[in-house]
Amino acid sequence: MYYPYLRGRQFELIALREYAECKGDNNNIIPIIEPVKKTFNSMKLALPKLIDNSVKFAMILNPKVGEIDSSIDIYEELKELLLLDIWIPAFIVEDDYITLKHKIEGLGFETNNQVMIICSEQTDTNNENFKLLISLDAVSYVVSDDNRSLKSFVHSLGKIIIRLDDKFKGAKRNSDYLTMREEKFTEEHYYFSEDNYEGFSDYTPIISSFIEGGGAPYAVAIHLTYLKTPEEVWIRHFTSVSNSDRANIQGKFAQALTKAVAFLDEQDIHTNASEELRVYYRDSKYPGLGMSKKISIKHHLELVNNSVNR
Amino acid sequence: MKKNINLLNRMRSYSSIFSSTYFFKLLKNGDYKFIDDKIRYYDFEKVGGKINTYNDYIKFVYSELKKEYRNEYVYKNTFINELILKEYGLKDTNVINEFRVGNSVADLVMFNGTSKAFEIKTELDSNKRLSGQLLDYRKLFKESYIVTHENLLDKYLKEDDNVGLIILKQTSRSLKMVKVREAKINNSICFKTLMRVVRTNEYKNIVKEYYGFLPEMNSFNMFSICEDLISEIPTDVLNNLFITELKKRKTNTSKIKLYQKELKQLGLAMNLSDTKYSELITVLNRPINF
Repeated sequence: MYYPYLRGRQFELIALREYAECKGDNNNIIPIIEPVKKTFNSMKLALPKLIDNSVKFAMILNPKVGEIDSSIDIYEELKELLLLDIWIPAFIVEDDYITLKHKIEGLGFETNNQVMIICSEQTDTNNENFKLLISLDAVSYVVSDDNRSLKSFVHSLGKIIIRLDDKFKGAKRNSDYLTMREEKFTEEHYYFSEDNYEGFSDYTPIISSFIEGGGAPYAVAIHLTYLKTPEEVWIRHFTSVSNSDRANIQGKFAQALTKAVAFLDEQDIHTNASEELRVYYRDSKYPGLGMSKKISIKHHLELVNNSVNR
Repeated sequence: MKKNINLLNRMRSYSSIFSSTYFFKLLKNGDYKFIDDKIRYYDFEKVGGKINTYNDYIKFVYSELKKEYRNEYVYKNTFINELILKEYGLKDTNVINEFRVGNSVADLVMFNGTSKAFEIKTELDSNKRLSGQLLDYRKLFKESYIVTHENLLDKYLKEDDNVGLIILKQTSRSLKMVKVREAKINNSICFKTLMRVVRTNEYKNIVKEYYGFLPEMNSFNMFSICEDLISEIPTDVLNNLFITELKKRKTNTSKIKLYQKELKQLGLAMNLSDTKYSELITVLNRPINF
């Protein structure tokens, strides 16, 4: 299973719901969603689409980035949508093992032994209290960067372990991608079960740090993942060339899009997302940079869904 | 000496309060930390005396800055209070904060019958980038002004004599702004710079206004098609079309007279609506209690 880790922003959520609608009968994806907005409108539009199309998801109830603070009860906001068996309550653990353990023990809703624990950089997986936390009956999933002793401990508990990798570092400026045509993205889709993991996770072609806002960029980059070999997913960057100022973002998108579509044609790549790009190219239409990000994510989800080595 | 360093540190710290980022957070999340930190550190004992609400404190901080540390915020705010409101007037006028031109950002610009760019050089600023900035402003604006402290007047009089000069004068009770030299009018305008400053609908309007129609184009080629057409418009006509478009750009210029005098520049920079502004005042009128 692939557990893409996505922040609950508008275009990430649109990518998820469109993925759910276009994936067909085959699904190898359980997204992990970290809510970041105080308004839950985009979330309330996306979750029913995931549910209707049987895409199970994990919802982080103690997000660490974005607008949501402890005064907002995410479960209360979404509870009419969060019915049993279609979602996994998830918590990020820092070094607050005991607090979190109490929180999970006191959960008001029926967890059905489904909780997911996501380790962070501060987590000491050898700490006894951490071990007590993940040993709780309610906990079924543990997400961590590659960690062999944790893996065998989680397996000894009969639970699921998922490795989380930060695959896409991102360039400082979009124009930097001009000198970096492509880079390796992942091979976990091929090797995770061989490496004895039940699933793998990454941040999709979005950088792992959470950065909000940002003005008009100097350069436009479209990121598309593809299977370079069956064992390796690579990411290609298609970047505008006239990047001396912030003007004419449409024209810059056109430059990046022309390169992207030429590549899709040459490689004969066809996903729901790639066809959307081809339509913008055919109609010379600029959909906005948010849509461009959505297409990157949706394309990646479709690609990995069809490439997971089970 | 030690006293001076303490004063300077306190002023630098105060100076960071008038930031739109912090005030947006205050409005959005009720996050008073950026003010609370200063109160705790410097002015704890004043609370309960003459300072009770956050607004009292903001007014106090502003008056301290006026006296001891005239930063860009104080200049802009005085400029709005003393020149825009008292002298230029707001009728048919658009004022825009931080306006990007070429490789520079003009501190304030103004569009009414003419176009003016203002570059603020406080006692705390260097004039290192000034000549480049003035060169950029001249590509678009009919008049460019340096706004500086009265003590620096001689230094800036020696700059480019096309540029106008406005000085901040300190009187015992308040700050005044006085224009000491008019800017020379510049009628040339650079179409390339213009294209990179205006928004899509603005350059389309300029083309439509001059040619009477928009050519067939799509979102990918419209920039270059319009740029070619705009390059053909005579300079004086283009200058007027540019001013007309920028006067139409939606800003909250007409509202600044309603804002409290310490907060005018902040209101302009944050482009606050009436409701947001009254929310801000409600939030600031809360009593400080630790």
